[in-house]
Amino acid sequence: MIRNLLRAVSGAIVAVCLIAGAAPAVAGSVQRDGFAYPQGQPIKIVVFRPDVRVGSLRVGGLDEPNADWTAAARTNIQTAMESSPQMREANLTFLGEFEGEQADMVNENRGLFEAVAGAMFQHVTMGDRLPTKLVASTDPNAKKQYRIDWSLGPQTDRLREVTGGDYALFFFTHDSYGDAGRKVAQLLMAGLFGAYVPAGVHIGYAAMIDLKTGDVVWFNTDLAMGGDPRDAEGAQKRVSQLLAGFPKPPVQPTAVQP
Amino acid sequence: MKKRNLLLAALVLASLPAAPALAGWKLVPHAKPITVAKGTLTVTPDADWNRWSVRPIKKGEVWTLDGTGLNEVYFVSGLIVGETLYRDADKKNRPLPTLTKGMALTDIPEFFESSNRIALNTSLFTVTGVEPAKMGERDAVKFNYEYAVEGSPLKRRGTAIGSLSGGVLYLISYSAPATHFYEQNRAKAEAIMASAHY
Repeated sequence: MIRNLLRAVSGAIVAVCLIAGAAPAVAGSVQRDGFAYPQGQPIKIVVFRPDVRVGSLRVGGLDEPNADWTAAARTNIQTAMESSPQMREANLTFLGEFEGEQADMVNENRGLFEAVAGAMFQHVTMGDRLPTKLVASTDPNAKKQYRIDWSLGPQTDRLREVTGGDYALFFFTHDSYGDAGRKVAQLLMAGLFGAYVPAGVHIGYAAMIDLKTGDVVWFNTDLAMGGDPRDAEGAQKRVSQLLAGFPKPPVQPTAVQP
Repeated sequence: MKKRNLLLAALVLASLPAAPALAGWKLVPHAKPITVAKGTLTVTPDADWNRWSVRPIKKGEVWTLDGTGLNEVYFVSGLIVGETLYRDADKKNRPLPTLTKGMALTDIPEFFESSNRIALNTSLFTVTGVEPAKMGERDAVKFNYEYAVEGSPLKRRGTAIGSLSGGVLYLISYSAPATHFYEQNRAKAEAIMASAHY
């Protein structure tokens, strides 16, 4: 319900950090406590079509979607992923579009991923910690540890049945480029007050979900998400950043021939 | 010329989105009565929750377990005539409805719905069930709702309880994605509502 407010605050947190010129406690790539790939059995990791949004950012902060930019970025990111050495090495299976009831189910889980990733961005990456996630410790000098236990829920098992995947990779990127008015404002604020106005929004999340449980087993984001996904080279840089810290799956056992 | 530039810069500054201070969270321990939203509304949760330092309005308060986009309890304590359920984001063009004199219990779901349609900028908000209830000793109304926001495929659900005393509103709502999260934490939210009194 306070989602819009939360979005504004999350954006503002980024803005505050940028304005202050101070790097926040960026966790970057994190794994669920105790996560390890099962050994000695084949693992299938599927990749859902990345959720890509590109638009322009007005002086007042209005984020206006741009269909042409979004289409170009979507194609470029998909191509960059398919040709990425990291992804080829991991032997990933890229999924196409779904139809009918399956498309609804995938979209619902994609939306859920965005919501969960937003929460993890705020409460893990940005360090806006939730006290209920604090791991109890009897040692008063121990460094505070917080559980990373977010999950999409066990309904993801249906995605496992539909795709045959054990794990699924979800990607979300959102870029909003400052329009001419915002650039003028940026120059004015810098020239007159030495203040910094962020030129735009560049957010990206990547996560791997255990489809049996819905648990987020790997999450990655970067506050300084680089690369302009509207061009092929920029998309490659973006994909490389999104995949930073991706837990490399074990070498798949080869079938023994009779 | 310098004056003109300063004036222009001030106008630009005023038009930029405000950057609030970093949010913070405090633990709300279970099984201990706590007064919420700087009013007289008191609840006793049966699980630990996190309380947000950011208040959507002076008489409002937000709790969550995993993040407000995943499970959120919103308290309003002592809203009076002329006040809004949330902060007006665009008062000139899209003002939020205000609590009106003579409002009845049965008007609360409509007030909640119209407030949220504007606050969330969505036309996809439906109240799905209304029934009489109690908030402590006082008469109340309980209702469920479903909604979605533009640009997101996620369907969301919620349940709320509201009560009026002398035209003053007390309300608790619980909202979460319909998939997984709503059912996962509904009992914890309903325990809060069941314990509420003012």
